[in-house]
Amino acid sequence: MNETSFWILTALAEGPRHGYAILGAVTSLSDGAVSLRITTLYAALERLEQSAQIARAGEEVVAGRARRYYALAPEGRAALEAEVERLRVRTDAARAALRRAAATSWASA
Amino acid sequence: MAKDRDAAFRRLLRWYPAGWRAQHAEPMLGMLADDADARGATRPSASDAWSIRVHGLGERLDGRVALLLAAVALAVAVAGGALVLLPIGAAPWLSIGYALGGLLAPALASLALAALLRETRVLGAPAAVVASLTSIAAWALAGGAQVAWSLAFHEADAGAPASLAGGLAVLLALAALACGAAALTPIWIAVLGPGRARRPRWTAAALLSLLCAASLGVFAMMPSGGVVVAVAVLLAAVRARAQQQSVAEVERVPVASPVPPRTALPTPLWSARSTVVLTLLGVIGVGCIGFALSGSSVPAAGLDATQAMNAGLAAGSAVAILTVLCAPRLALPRLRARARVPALLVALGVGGGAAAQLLGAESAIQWPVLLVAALPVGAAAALVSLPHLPGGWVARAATAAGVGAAAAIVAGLPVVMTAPFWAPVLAVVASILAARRRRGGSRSVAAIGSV
Repeated sequence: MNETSFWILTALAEGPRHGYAILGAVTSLSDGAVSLRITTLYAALERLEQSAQIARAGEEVVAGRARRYYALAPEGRAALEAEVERLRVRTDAARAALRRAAATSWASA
Repeated sequence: MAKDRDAAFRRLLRWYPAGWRAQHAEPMLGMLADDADARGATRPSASDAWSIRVHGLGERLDGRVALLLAAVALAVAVAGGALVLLPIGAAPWLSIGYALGGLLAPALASLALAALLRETRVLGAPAAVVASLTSIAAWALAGGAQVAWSLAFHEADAGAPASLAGGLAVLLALAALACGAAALTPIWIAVLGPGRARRPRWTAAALLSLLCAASLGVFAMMPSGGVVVAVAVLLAAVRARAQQQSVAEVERVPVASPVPPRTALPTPLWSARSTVVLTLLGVIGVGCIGFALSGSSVPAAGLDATQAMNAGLAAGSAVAILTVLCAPRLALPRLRARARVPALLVALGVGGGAAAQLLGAESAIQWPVLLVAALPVGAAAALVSLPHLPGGWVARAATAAGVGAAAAIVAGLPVVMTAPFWAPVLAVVASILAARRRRGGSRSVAAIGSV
C-alpha cells in the first residue's frame, strides 16, 4: 500500500467524508507531513474506488459547489488493518533491536 | 473574482477526456474551489495548472488508446518491413521502410505501452505522461542520430573531409539513450514495488532502464524488431482489454465450459511406426544437407558445387514438407486435427522455398517467389494464434491478422529458406515424442493387464 492510499483510508476510517474534507484530514492526521494535491487525491480516490476499497456515499451541493462523499468499504478496512499489522511488526522489531543495542552499550559502559 | 477563477479551473479541466468530465468535473471543481478559497487564491497557480494538465493528459491514455496505438504501430511496422523486403527499388523506399519500421512503429508502440501501463494502474497518470513524452523524444533523437550517422558515413565513403555529422551522431545517440532510460525509469520504479527503500529502488530502476533502453532500442530499430515489439504490445493490449471486459461480465454469466471429446489415441504399434518414419525423415534430411555441402565431390552425380547445393537443398525442402505434414500427425495425435491446416500452410511455404532454390540465385523471380512463400507461414501463425486470443470474433480475427502479418515479415523468410536445416531437428524431436508416447502406452496397457 502506498502512502497516499494509507492516509486516505485512515482519513475515512472515522467515517464518510467529502473530497476536500479528506484532503484536510490527511494533512491533519499526518501532522502536516503529507499534503496532497487535488489532482493526486482525486486520482487516488478513483483508483481506490475501482479496487472496491472505498465507495461513494452520496453527493450534495453546498453554496453552489458539488461535494461527493466517500466511505471506507470492507475491502478497504481489511487492507488498512493488514497494513497497520505490517507496520506494527516492523515497529516492534525496530524497537526491540534498539532496546537490545541500548542494553549492550549500558553493559559495556 | 472567484467566478473568473472557477471558470479558469473549468477551462483547465478540458485537458481531461469528455467521458471523465461528465462523471467527475463537478465534484473536482468543488474541491478546487474549496482549496483555492482556503488559500485565498484568486486564480489557479502555475503548479495547479500543470498538475491538472498532466493528470488530464494521463487520463486520456486508456486501454482503448493503447489498443489503437498498438494496432497502428503494427500496421506501420508491417508496412515498413514490406518496403524493406519488397524488390521495388533502393534508396527512397528502403529509407522510408527503415524509418517506418525502425522509428515510427517503435515510437507508437512505446506510447501504446505507456497507455497500457496507465490503464492497468502500473503507472499513475503523471508517470505515464512523462514516459510517453520522453519516449517520443528518445525516438526522435534516435532518428536524428541515424541521419547524422548516415551523412558521416557517406562523407567518409566519398573521401570528403569529416564534418560535424559524426560527432553529432554520437551525441544524439547518447541523448536518445538518456531519454529512453528516463522513459523506462518510472516503469521499473513501479515494477520494483513500494516495499523497498527509495534510494536503492531508484538506483536499481535507473540502471535497469539504461540497460533496457540500450538493448530494446537497438532491437526495436531493426525492422523485424519493430514488428516483434509492436505485435507484443498489441497482444498485451488485447489481453488487458479482454480481461477488463470479462471482469465486467463474469458476475453476469457463469458459463460452464464444455468438455471437449477426447481424441482416440493411437495404439503402441502405430507409435512404433511413427518413431521409425520420423527418424527416417530426419536421417534423409541430414543426408540431403550432406549432399548439398559435398555433392560436387561425388563423381557419379556430375554436378558442380552450386548445382549440388541447389539439388541438395531442394531435396531437403521436399523432405521438410513431408516432415511438417507428418510430425504433428504422428507425434502429437491430440493436436493433429488443429494442426492440419497450419501444417499444410507451412508445407506450402516450404514448397515455395524449394521452388526458389531450384530457380537459382540468377533467376529474377527467386526473391519474389520466396516472399510469396513466406505468406502461408504468416497465415499458419495467424491460425495457430486464433484460438488463444481473447475478445469477440472481430477483435480476434483482426489481432490474428496482425500476428500473421508480423509472422510473415519476421519469421516467414527464415522458415522457408532454412527448412532443410530445421526439418531434421523437428523430425528427431517428433520421433522422441512418439517414442515416449509408445512407452507410456505400453505402460498403460501393462498396468491395465495387471489389474
